[in-house]
Amino acid sequence: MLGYVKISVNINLEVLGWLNIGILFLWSLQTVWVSAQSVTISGYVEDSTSSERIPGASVSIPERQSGTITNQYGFYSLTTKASSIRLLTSHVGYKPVWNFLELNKDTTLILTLEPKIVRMKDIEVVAHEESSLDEIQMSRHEIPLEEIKTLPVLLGEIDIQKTLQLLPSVQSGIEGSSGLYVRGGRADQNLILLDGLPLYNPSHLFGFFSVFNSSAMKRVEFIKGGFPARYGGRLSSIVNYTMKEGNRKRLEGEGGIGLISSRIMLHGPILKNRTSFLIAGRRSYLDQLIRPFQWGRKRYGAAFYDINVKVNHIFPRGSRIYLSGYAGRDGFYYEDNPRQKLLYRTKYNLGWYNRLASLRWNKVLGDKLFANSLIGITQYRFASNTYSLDTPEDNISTEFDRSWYSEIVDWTGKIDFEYIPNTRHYVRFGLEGILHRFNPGTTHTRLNQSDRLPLNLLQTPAGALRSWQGAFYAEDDIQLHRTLRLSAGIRLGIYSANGSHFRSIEPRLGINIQVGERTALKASFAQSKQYVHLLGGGGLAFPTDLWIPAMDRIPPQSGYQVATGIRQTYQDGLYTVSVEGYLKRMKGHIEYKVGSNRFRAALLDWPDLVTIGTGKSHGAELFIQKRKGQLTGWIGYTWAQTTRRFASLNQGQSFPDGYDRRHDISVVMQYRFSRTRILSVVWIYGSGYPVWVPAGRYVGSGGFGLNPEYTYPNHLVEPGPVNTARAPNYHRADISMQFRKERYWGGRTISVGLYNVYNRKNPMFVYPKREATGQSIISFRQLSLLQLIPAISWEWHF
Amino acid sequence: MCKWKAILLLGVFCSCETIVDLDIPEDYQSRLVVESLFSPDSLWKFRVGRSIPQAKSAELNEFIVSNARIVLSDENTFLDTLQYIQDGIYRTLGGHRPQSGTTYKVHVKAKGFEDVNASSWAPPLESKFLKLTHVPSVDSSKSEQYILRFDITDGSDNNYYRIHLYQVVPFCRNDNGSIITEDTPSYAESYQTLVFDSKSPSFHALVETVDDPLYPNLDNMFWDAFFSDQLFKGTTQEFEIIFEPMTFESFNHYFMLVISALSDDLFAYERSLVLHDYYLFGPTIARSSPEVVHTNISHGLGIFAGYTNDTYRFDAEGNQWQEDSLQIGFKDTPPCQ
Repeated sequence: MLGYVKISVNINLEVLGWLNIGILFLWSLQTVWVSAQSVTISGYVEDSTSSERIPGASVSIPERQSGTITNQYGFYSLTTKASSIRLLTSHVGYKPVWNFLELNKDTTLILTLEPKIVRMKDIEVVAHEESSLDEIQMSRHEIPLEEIKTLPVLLGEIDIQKTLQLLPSVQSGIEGSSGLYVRGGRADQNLILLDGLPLYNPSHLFGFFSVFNSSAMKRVEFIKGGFPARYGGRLSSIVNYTMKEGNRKRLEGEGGIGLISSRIMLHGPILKNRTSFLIAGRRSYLDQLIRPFQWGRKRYGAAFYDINVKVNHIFPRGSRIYLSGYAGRDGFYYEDNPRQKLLYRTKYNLGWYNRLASLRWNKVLGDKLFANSLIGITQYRFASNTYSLDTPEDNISTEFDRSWYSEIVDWTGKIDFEYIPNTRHYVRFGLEGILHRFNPGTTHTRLNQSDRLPLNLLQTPAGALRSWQGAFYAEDDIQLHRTLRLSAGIRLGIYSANGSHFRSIEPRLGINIQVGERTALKASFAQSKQYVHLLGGGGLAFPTDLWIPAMDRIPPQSGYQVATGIRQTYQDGLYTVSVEGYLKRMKGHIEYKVGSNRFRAALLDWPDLVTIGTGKSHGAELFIQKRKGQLTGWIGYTWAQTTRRFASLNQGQSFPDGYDRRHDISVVMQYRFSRTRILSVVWIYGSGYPVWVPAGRYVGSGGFGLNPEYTYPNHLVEPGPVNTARAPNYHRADISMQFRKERYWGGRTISVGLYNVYNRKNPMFVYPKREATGQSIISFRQLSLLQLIPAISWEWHF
Repeated sequence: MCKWKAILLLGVFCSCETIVDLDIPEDYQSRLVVESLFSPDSLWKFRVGRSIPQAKSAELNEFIVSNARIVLSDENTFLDTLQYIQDGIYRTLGGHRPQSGTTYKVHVKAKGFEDVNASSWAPPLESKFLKLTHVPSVDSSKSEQYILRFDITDGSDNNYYRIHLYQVVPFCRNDNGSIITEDTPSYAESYQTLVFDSKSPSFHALVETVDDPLYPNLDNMFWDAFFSDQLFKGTTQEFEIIFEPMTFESFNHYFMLVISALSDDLFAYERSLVLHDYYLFGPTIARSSPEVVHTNISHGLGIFAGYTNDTYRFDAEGNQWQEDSLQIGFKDTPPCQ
């Protein structure tokens, strides 16, 4: 019966895919007819002070109830009847601008918006879920960076990803982590893009902080369902970070000093109005802070840094080129006798880095076609090194050096087109190709002994695994009726690795029905395929987890998600309430078999050590938001259930996912006493995560090589069914206060805050414990790591 | 208290461990526990027990199963039915010993439990004692040392090894009943583990770090050396260990080197026992799920796994000696004088 259902679903999806293609074709025919009677106004929307282009700005003709939104690069194209029009341009945080135009031919126009001076009675959006009722994309959030910077944060480190965790259906994993587990998905199922290229491990300090320097970011878009066809390769969410372009008019900068790191950012023109740059850097100083407390000959510490660079140039004919780069590194070290006063020296390093570089080229072809092409490279590497030098005065000297690393490198090339024939259509299509090179593990051992031949051994047991994937997509946002909009898209993919080939047809569909002036009904369907796996430790996103490609013995991950919802505004848009429900099915998950030696997996035989399974998730979300006034904020509530099933786990029975949380509440409030003082409060509640606990116990001996007389009885536990118990509930409140002051040279902000104000001892881990070897009875404990923690930071800008 | 620490340290993490009540599943089904670590050096022996619910209190004898029927076979040929002795121990009465390189199967049944099966082997081992070099003490600041060289010829599969070094020392029993070494030759002699030094990049002092590319492999003093064939797969590899002997006024140096080849199951079991112990001693970030003790007993628990030892007994000159000549194990340990 189960098999029958699966087959019928697959057939239906393929039929849906071909239906989409048919719809696109029919509507493109209509497009030609409509466009012949109209004129088109197109161009960019820019910030008047910096000339940065503004994505997501609204350009509309209210009298005709027609309009459009600027794309990621600030481009718009609006086709209308030739006549006099009143064009309204608006965006959050900017003053709306009216332009009176006499349109009798196609026109190119740069529209500028002036940043709004905030007044007490007219403070806007803390977080806006969807820009308007008629936006067809559902399950999408875009949080202004300026607002993210006012929320309370752990140790004063502004972290965009941690703000995303405050949205419905987004889990952080373990407390304090910047990980994202979206609608029952896993950490590897998020497509995290920085200027169009993916980052594989966007975390510092084992996940406690994300790698995104808020000073360098211009925009973050978060989509957790109804994925547009232009995005592919991941099952659960898209987090699209865009770096600032750099002020084309004058040099500006900002920086901040926090408890564990400081950051700085400069941007400005290289050629005025033509070429601009941005450079931003951040460095932690944990290692420097603990150094004075390290006595003796041993040294240890941890540090991270990241650098963002961007240069862009506008050519005389309007095309634009962007060069973006990111490099970030984490390092942990331990040294014994680093100054080598003794006859031996040892050193241990462990760390990882992400590097990314992309070159993009934008070009407007005519008034209605926008092209963006990109080539780029992404690299993620995790490495460790052990070094020892032993030089006895009158004996054999020994130098031992052993390095290990695992790595993934992607070369990406893609071209995207946006065609806006009229206000009823917004067509996107494009091609993408990615060449992956995986290196699950390479070991280099070097041994020099004064009385021996040196050993120099390079081992790459699994070898470099190469794979490639290509995709074509097409999508159209169609205004079928004044109250009905449809988004139809399809993504056709192909993938090859080690002689195995996979194809995919991924239909995407979205519907928006407006009911009256204040209500919109929405629904979406998205099917996705993912060709990379994160072979990890059961849900925690550690840098030691292995990225591996799909191949013959490990198929790609695939899944689909159906979502439906209603969105309503009250008091002229002051309050917005949305309710969404979703259903998600996934297959092709991989997990280590119970008892597998994960270290062997790094070296040789990971395909033998994994079991392949499926996942199910469904839930309902409530999101209430107040968008204006002195008090702004939102309340989010999620009810959700997520299960997994693996052939070699839990006797093949379904079990709750490690981050299956039944109830999740977040309350975010900001109160502005004045333009210079902002109080922010966050309260979070989550029902307990599942815990896998022992169900039985038995006695055995101490094992091989030990005298049974001394080691028997050795009390051992037998794990019960997976994840049947629940950890205690989680809740905490954070608070912060910002004091801003504008000066002639710029301004400064001092933030003070408290994390976990009422010092709740929340469970970071729950585990069994016995007091001594051989003792039979165990108790269960929880470790609470992040309790009341104060934070202070100082920021400035000019 | 934690609150004040946190404030004083301005954000330095403060951890607290508290006991929590969890709802443990109660519908637990007891299973047979079968344990046999076999080698060609010994007769077949099994221990059979049962598991009980985690929260249930029980005396040690409640874990014992005395009515099990254990049938041992060699590939498809019946070999022996083992007999119950006491305390859950079953032995062969036919005097059978395991053979290196042969796969054995065991079937165990007991009333009230699901039948269990397992199979394993004692992997073949090829090693050679090469040379012993004595480095005498030149002054009081430096002890005498021995440098021992041996080699192992590795097979084609994934293989695991263990090295253990012993010295024969005299023993006596003190008033507290504990055993201490004495420099009096009239007392009983027995083996004492000897720590050794090695620069071999293959050796690991801890079984759980073998094949771990992240482990800072800085140890060069070993009680046991565990290793895989990762660095010498399918070839002959020479090893060198250095050790300082315990010295007695009237008792010569006698040593014993034991090289063991461990089956995959035995290595996995050893490793999982250690990790299981860590698991029950507190949290680590990397351990989000229970560390399951490895078992190859289908439908049951425990371990049925083999190993093969090559044992080299040598004196200070590198000459071979026999256990009988020292009467090891022949005498009871006498009281200390």
